[in-house]
Amino acid sequence: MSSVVDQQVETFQEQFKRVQQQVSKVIVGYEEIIDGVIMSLLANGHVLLEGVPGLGKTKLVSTLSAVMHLKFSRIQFTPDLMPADITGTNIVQQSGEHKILQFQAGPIFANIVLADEVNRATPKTQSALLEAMEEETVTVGKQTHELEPPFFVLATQNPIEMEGTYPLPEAQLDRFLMKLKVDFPSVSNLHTIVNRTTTVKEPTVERILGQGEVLQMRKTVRSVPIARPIQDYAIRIAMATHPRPPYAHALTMRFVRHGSSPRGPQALVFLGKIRAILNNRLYVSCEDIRSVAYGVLRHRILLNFEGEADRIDTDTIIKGILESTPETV
Amino acid sequence: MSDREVIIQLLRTVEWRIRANRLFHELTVGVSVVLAALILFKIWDLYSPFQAVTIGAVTVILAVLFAAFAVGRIRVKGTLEQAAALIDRKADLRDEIKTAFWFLNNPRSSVWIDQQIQRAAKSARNVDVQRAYPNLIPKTSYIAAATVLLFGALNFIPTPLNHNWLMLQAAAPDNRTAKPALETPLDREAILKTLKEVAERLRASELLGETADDLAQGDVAAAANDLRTLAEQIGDATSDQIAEAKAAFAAAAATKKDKAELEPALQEMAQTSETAEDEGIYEEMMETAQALQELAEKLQTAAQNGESYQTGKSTDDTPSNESVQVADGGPGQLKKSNSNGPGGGSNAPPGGLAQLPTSLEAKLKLDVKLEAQAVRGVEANKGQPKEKEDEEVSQATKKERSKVDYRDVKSDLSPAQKDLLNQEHVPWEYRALIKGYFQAIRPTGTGPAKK
Repeated sequence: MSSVVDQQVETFQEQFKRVQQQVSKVIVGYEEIIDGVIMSLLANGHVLLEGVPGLGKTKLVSTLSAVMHLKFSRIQFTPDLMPADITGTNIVQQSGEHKILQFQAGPIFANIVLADEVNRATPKTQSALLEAMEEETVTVGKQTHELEPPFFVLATQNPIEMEGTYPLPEAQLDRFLMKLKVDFPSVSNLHTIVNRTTTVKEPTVERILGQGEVLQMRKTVRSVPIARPIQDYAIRIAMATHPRPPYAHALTMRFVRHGSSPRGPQALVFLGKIRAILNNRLYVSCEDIRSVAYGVLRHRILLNFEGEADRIDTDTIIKGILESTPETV
Repeated sequence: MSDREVIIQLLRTVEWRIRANRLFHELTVGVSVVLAALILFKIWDLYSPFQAVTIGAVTVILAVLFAAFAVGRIRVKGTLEQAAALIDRKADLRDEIKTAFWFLNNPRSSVWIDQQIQRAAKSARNVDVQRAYPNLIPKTSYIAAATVLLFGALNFIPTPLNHNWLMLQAAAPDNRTAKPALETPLDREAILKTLKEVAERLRASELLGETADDLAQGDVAAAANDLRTLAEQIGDATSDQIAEAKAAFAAAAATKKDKAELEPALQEMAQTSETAEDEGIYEEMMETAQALQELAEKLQTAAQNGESYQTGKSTDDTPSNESVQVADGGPGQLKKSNSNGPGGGSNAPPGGLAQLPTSLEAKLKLDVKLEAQAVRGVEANKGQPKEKEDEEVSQATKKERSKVDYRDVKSDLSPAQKDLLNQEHVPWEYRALIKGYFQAIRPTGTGPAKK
């Protein structure tokens, strides 16, 4: 019995490592980002990547899809993009003597969807993603179409050039399992990037993971047990993001309008389980929860007026929460 | 041992080790605090020895408090969950034991959980509890040891009042309660003895004969009055007589005193003997008289205390010794009498000062003091030659009350200095005296009842 578990863990670790290595062939640096994206995919979540243009966000997603035997589609969000441009629409087609309405699937019908510059589309268009992200279904007219698993949305947004953009509403933000910040690469990483992309031989990746493997890995993740004290720790961290006693942190009380939804602790536990397996453990530890807390909670904390005025970074609040929340009560 | 037993055994060991270390630390802190309190009590005892009963009571109270503290702390036990969390952190096991222990208490059928418990048990076997929680001697134990040594050392300090508690020594049981009754007559005995010696030496001077007689009889107040009278008439004395008096004062000042109460009077006598100018000897003699007056009042107060104590004291407590009572002769006059058992103080003649109402008694005391001040004031009007009038005028504002009309006094003081001098100032040491005087002469009769 135990050998089965060990084998599952070993397989998981190996497959994860292979994907990681393949993506790292193209994407220089950003190991944490790469890990976060893969972990979100395995946790059945979606990722919001935030960074200035040119950092390779889109390249990361396209590389990831290239590594996996999964259907990939890219949607460039623009202000004039319509919901039907994403979900698809019913079109009239001649069938013999009759004309019938036939559904023409949009680009959302893929396994990996890159929603590039998602904040440039109108809220109406952005909302077209809501149902797909949560329910993994698309309803057009009277018909609901199921999306093929795994369904993984990777959205990017630019934190600058906010003019003419539509910030994502809280409801949509909450549907992203993680929000990862893509920082500017270091000098040494820039050298590597330049060397790799300006020579004759460009790096190529192999397709190593198919749909079945991804779904099996997701199943493995769900098998990892978590003890109540650790789960309690994750919940207390999520509760501390709310400006209400008894769990609220001082910074939360002062700067936060609204904290994490129940999706927050769910994401903490899910990602904690993946991290536990990657660290060759069969259980989730408090350290696992802490390590994924920033990515999980930073977009789930809504600042109040004072927080916005003082330009408080939600990472600062999360840091305060992690430092003040005891592992055991 | 099964995996479960291994984990539970580890947690129990860790819990016991943590509890032992905590208890050792807390108990040494408790010992330090108790001994610190005992040391303070011992230091107090060095200056004012306590009876065995008091020492025993304090020791028992401290022992009981420490025992209660110790029992309370010993009863505090940590949980195995806490031990699991602590050993995880200490041995860097990343919540492995904590998780396994939780799953042991909340079993589920999962191969992952079984495997996790197996791994945790393996880790538990490898945990070195001695290394994680070594048997350390807490720093507080050094403090406790230091307090023990200090306490022991305090008991062996070679001072007359020190009693070694470790050898079950303490002050005599009745020392503190009997002190007012026993020590007061003995003090007076010693004082009277010294005063007789002083009187013998003062007899060498013809001028101080009366003073010496009064002192020899123990009438210190009368001796003070004699000395004042002599000071007022010192202008009529010859230089030989003054020299003789100085020599007598010097001899008297050299008397070996048995009691500190005599210190001021003898010191004043020494200063009188050192006074070179005849004009100055008056001041010094008046000071000596004042010191004698104060001594008389002290003796009177002591006599009243001893008497009132003995009045309410049982026969068994009163040793067959001598007590001194105030006679009718006036304040400060001492008379020896034997107290015969209970109520020995009641042998004092009726109408003695001790029998007077408190207000009148205070008034009589005040009379003597104010008399001394009045003598100083009147002195300015007597014994001054006419030819010294100009000097008198110039010194009038500097010394005592002047007999010259203030309008005739030419002053070279600045307005600021005048303002300062015009302020009514009562010397601090006389405030209580004056207040007591006015309280004593206040009408005590009851007026018509108010409706």
